[in-house]
Amino acid sequence: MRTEALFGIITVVLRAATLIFQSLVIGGIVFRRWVASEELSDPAPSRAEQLGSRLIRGTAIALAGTQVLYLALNTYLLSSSLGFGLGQIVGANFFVAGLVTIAAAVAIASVPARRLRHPGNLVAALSLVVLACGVLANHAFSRMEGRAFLVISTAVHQCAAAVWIGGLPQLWMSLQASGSGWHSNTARRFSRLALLSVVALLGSGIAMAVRYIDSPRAIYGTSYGIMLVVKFLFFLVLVGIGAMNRKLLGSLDRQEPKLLLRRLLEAEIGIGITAILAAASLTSQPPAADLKSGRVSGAEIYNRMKPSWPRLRSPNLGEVSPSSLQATKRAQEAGKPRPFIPFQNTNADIAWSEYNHHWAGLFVLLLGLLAALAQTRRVGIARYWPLLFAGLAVFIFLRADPEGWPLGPDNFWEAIQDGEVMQHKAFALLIVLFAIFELRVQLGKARFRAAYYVFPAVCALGGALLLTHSHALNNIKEQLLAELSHAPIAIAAVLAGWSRWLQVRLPNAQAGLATRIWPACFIAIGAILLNYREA
Amino acid sequence: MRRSSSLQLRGLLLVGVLCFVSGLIWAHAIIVESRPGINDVITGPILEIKLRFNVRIDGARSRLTLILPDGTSRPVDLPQQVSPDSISATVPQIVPGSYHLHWQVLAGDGHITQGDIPFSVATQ
Repeated sequence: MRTEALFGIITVVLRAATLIFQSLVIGGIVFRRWVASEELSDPAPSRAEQLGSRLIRGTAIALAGTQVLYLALNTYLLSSSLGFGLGQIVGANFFVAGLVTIAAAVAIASVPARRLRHPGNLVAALSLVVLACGVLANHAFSRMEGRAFLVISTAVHQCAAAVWIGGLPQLWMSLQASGSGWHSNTARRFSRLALLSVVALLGSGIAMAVRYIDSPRAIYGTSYGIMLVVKFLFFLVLVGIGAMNRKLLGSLDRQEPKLLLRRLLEAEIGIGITAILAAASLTSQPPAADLKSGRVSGAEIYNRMKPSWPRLRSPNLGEVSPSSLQATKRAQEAGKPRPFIPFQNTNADIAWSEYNHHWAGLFVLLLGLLAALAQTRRVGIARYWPLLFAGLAVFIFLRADPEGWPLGPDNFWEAIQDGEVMQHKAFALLIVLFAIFELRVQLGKARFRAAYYVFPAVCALGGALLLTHSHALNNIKEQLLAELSHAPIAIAAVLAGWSRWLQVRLPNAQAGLATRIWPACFIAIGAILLNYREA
Repeated sequence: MRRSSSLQLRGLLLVGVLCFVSGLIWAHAIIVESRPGINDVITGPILEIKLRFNVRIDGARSRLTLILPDGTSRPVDLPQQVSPDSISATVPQIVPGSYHLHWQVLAGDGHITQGDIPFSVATQ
């Protein structure tokens, strides 16, 4: 893997972390100042207040730490490529904004606990500074046209996201830590504020989309458009969960609805953070309106996506491109210059890859069907569905990298020096471990409660991380066509993870719909893989 | 080297495990107008360079490098920006041959982006 690409990914992750911590800090402060403000009468701090202020402090420290890393990385990249000293970099916008964010975050973290429990004007002003710096790191600030309009829209957008998504953990802690009575008022106040945030998010989002997306074709024909659609779908899911939560507000004096609300809030927090990750991915891509060439047409998408019979016969190993490493070694031994090896995949390479995907799709499809069957508790053997993960891992281990061991001429140590090969082998091993964990859960043999969370956590995190890498340079068509099918996989994985989470966290009687969603998501992932094509 | 089995498979692996890193470059500032353009043939001996981007550029923290026909590189002096979204420069005494103009810019929002423009200088 090229170093600059690795730095690019790290930067996206740091930007995502910045957005997440920024939202939690701002949302936490808004919640404690305006939503939970009626609880001030009690002089002794409640458990919810203590936890809430700790969360604000913790996320403020995390925000400062993330910005330190971001500044260090960007400074390193600039100084190593331009030969600049620190003195020449400190005046850059990103550096100034980063330093101010760090100062504001450290100041928030240093506020005494009693003031964080009931934040005053100073803390609220510091959260505004954090927001302003967040806007400076966004597309809007660097635009040539409509800059003021876009900066205001971005500020409203980020603020609304922070108030809603960033306030959810505070509400969850209030429900978790407090006795009955007052928290239903808190929940009602938060619900009203969240509703307002939804309207502000949608309004500002549409305002920005009109500027950043110049035509309907740019929505499906560019990476930016696709990621925006992904973000909007998560927004709809969040609104749906929010609507369910709102219905529960009237019955919070009973235990069952209160528990359901807490669990739904957990899913809402997780999916909300995933939506913020998708937003971070958007900030690292040029807006669709700037990319006039290289867009994918509807016909090209149809040709690639139209259903076709899966490729279940593999080309011979001898037909795929030979090992580039071995060719280089042979040339070196013969004293010849390093041979030119084209980066393009041959038809056999494509066939090899499609065969891999289609069989992997069959594994996942079957896995989803068995998992769905297992939910009915009528077919005992269906509980062994995690074993299919182990089968998938073996398949990937053997087939993913035809140049290297055990199929190709590169030995194991030579093969894993390629970053992607190492990922494949390591992932295959991890999938086996994952399968063992989940099998024990399904058979009721897991010793630790934590084992139950491995499956949902891995699905949700895997799907979320899959969203962060979508950065096709200038919309290379092939890259974009691949993104068009892996974006739904990411969405399905996130939904599978959080619905499984709800199943694990809720009593059977309340888990109803959740038990059907995640097997359906796996069936969908299997179907998408079965129709995957590279040409 | 073959582009190893594609994004989808890795996406699937991700669903199964956790971490994933892709080998794609990080793109943000893109050129909307360039002189010379990609694969242009120009006549010397003076090379006028103007790159206009889709976003504001921090010219003081951006760089142009000319890769000469013999493979050596030569930094290009950047004068003060005339427009916030553009960088321009003049290179005198350029000889015929194949060149690459390597650019690296810092966008106003902190993104660093780079790229190459191949072009040729024809004999007059």
